[in-house]
Amino acid sequence: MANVPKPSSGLVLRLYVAGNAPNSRRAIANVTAICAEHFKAAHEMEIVDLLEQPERALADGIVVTPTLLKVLPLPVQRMIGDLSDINQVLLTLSSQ
Amino acid sequence: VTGAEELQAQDLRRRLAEAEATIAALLSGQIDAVVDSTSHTPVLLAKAQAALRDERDRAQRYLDAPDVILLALDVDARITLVNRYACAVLGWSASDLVGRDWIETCLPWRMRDAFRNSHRDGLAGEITVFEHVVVTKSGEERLIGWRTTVLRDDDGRAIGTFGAGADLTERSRAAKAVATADERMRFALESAGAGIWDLDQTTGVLRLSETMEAQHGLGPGTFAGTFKAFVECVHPDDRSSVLETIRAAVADGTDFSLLYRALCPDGSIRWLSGTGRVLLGEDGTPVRTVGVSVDVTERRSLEDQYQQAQKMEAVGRLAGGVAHDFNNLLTVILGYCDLLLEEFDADDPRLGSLAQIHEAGGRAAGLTRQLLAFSRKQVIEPTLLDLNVVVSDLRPMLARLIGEDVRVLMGLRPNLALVVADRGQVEQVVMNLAVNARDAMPTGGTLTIETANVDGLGATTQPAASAGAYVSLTVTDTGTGMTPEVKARMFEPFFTTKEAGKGTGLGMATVYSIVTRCGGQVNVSSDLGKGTSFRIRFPRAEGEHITVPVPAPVRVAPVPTGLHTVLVVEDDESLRELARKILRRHGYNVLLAADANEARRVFSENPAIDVVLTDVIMPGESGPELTRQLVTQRPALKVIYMSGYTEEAIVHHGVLKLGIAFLNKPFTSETLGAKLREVLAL
Repeated sequence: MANVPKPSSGLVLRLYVAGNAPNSRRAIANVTAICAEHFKAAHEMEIVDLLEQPERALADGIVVTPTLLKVLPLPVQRMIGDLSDINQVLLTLSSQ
Repeated sequence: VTGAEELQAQDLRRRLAEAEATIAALLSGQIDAVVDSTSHTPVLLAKAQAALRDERDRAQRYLDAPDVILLALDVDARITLVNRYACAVLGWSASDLVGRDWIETCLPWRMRDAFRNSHRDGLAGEITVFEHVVVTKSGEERLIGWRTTVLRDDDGRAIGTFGAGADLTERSRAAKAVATADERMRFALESAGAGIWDLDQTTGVLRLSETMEAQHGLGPGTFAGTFKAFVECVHPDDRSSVLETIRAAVADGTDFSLLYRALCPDGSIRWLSGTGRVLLGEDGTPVRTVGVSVDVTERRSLEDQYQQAQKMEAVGRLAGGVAHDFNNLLTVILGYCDLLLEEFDADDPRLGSLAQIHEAGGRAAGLTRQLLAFSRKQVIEPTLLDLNVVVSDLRPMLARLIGEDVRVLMGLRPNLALVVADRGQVEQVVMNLAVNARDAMPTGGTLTIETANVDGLGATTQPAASAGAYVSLTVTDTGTGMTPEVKARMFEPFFTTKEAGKGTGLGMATVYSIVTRCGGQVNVSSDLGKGTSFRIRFPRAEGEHITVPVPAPVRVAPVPTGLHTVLVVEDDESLRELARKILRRHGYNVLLAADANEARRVFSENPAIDVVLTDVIMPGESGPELTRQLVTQRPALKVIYMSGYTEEAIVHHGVLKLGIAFLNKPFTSETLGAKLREVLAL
């Protein structure tokens, strides 16, 4: 674990949601706010609506929405729920 | 444990942690959907479903709130969304409509192909605004005004249209009802000959109906459409009053009426009468001024004619009223003048002054005659006349009257038919025309007097021509000519183009009066700058009318022997005395009487009386009443009436009854002597 190099580029996130459903909407709002405050431009985020693209669930093994996937830097981490515990989210996103 | 086992254990712990986190999130209600493990599709949890439904309902409520039709169509014109108002208008439920073909369901047959094309074209554009008719479920047609935008996906591809529509049916019906009422009103006004105008106070645009354009001499649709253009159509003399009337009405917001002359492009003038109303906006300021206009030219002309007729009648009465006394005075003045002229030696230096008095008296007598002729109170004595003789006899006087600058030509056709007319009046016609001709040629020219036999249409004929033929007398000058305005008014009494004091304005009126009175006609042609031609046509005398011999011009005969006795009955003493002097000079025995009673006494005492010369109107018995008795007593008695104007007692419709001698006042020594000789010779 200590051997894994730190990513030179920033954070890459993928958020799986179910349309405009309440938790999905909250999750989008929360993660957007955290990134804007703590990671500025050094991040990429893709929002995937499973109601529109259900086939995407299989690739990342998504079981429920909302699910936030930290793609980079490795290791891949996932967070479930509306991401309202901002400290927990920050901790996960900063972990190596 | 091996490294591999350690990695597997880590992975399991991580998965377990994730599973725990998932369960925790699920329990705390933070999950929206669970992915079905066999179909790999997300299944919304009930709460999320409800939330989404709530949101959709809220959106639907927004759509349903306004009274506007909201309609979304896909690229094939299938309905993807309608709101409640749309359903209310169309008569269908939302579930009936969504998914159906809009064109097949809601458009009339006649529009379907066109709409499908325009829908396809519309997808290529952005926003379109249009109106069209839709058919409701019950088959009723309604007019909808649309504003439509194109819906696009994230790649910019058109996926349909979204339109907002307003139901214009009622508005359109109301507008049609207004238009129909407007049309009816317009028809009523136009068929009554009333023009309509409408001024928009805010834009200044003025619209005139075709009738009103015609009233101003403008072709349909040629009016320029501004208030300024209207003002230019008004006669300059009337502009300020028209402007002031409209300005005051607009300022007060009151109704108003106008009477003005329209100046037409061809220069003609029409009298227009109109009323107007100022329409105020909600804030009380004028927004429109509307009104109607009627052409009253003809009515005014009739009013003018009526006033003219009244004026003529008044002049006639006045003339008749003063003529009697005035002629008595003139008779005395001229009579004594005559007597003095005969007494003076030819080389007497006072003769010139006397001649002036005589001439002035003669002019006064002429003026009286003119007034009487014009007012038709003059006694006329129609005889058979040869116009060639009348004109030839006038020639010396014409030459004196007209002066040296004007050449006088005579074109008198031989074998001219005779006419029945009063010689004095025909002379007056010729003189009046000649004087006017002279005045039209201040720098000289040519005056031509022609006579000819003509048929009813005016063509020259031989004297043996058919009955109904005329004899024409044409007076032509090479003078200034007349403008159409002058020509139109030339026969009006007191209308004159001459300077004040130069003309009475009665000359042409008299000509017209005389000619029409004896059944003739006057035609005028005039070229401005070239001259004027008056052609008078008298009816030619027919056989049965030729009962009076053509009187030879009366010339002074030698003084007769004093064998005859004349009784003069005249209430005016100076006239009586004058008559006595003249008659004595002519060699008659003279007896005098001041009224009928005295006359009867004198008559009974003097059986030798041959002639009674009597005034017509006297205090007490009239002249005709007296002479009727006297003639009964002595049938051979001759009677001469003297008067200044027509008396019903002796004349019938202005023409002397047969067998009655008449002496016009003022008379002169010469005319009295001649009349006596004429009577005694019969």
